[in-house]
Amino acid sequence: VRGRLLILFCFGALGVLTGYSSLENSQGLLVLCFVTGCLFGVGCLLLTSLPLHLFFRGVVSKNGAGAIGDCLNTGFLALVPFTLLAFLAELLLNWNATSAFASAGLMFCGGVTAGALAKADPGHPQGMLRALVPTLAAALASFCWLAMWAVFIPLLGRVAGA
Amino acid sequence: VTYPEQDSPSFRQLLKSGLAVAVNPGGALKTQLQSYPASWAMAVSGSAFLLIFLQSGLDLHRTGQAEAVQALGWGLVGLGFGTVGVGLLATIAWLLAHPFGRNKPWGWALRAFSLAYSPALIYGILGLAANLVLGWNTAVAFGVTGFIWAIGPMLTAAQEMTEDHTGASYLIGTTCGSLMLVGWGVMVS
Repeated sequence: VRGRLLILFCFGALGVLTGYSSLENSQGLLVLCFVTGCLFGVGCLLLTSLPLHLFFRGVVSKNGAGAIGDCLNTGFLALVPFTLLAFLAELLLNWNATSAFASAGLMFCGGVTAGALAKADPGHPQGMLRALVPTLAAALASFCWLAMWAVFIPLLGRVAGA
Repeated sequence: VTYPEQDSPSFRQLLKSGLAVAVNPGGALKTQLQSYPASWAMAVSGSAFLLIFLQSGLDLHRTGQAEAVQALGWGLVGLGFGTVGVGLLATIAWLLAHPFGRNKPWGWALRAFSLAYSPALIYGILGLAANLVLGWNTAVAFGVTGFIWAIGPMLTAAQEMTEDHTGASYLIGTTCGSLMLVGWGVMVS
């Protein structure tokens, strides 16, 4: 549970950093960015777990119903270093690069999740398609993250300006 | 790809192994790094930073803040940053990983950390092309992106060095990433 909370906190923190340069003066809107990031994280983990349950049935049958969730936890904890480095880049160096950190971080999480799933079911031959499923899901999540903030930040900007 | 019967692998094999670190760092670091020449690995990170720093120089030259010779000087600074700097980074990571696992020699860490910058080399080449052909200021946009895509392979290398100790590897990866980020940020700003 602590791992899952840390992952959601990372999503929230990346949300705050995404909004930080555009909505610097509005603490209320930054809280909204945090909540939106966390909610995206919940949706991302839930939606990513669906195809994994479908393609990695052996993992569930060997390790129990919570095994896919554990592999997702292992994979998405890799978001922590990317979040810390995004903080450093945004606050210390004033680089507006949080989207790039989040995007690369999510893609890397997909790769780590694939590795964790392969470890959980070592007997099953790891076909190319199966190995690509977590990576493709993470790529889709990365695209959705970018698209969501591209729409959401201008909306919040209008609210702040009104 | 291993090179058991060949003393010197072909350029094509070296290129393929180098790119494999960018695409699949976990698999590539486990299977392809043992026989990869350290000089080639350092050439990857050296070239990556040479191209990124050269773009910084070209950006400054375009805005009249630097002469053409100074722009080339920036490239040389980048070469030093990508070879000596990355070598130092690999040494720091190797020392920090030492209490958690001692199965990887220093040379392995050097090759792994140098090859981690193969995505940065790709972005460096693309950025230089955009800089020269389209006249864009590319140093920050392409440099930052290349740097960010090097974090994943660095974390994977740290994980291998700490024998899958996740917490330690993320701590080492974050420390090394921060040092590189701040070092580079201070130099280009």
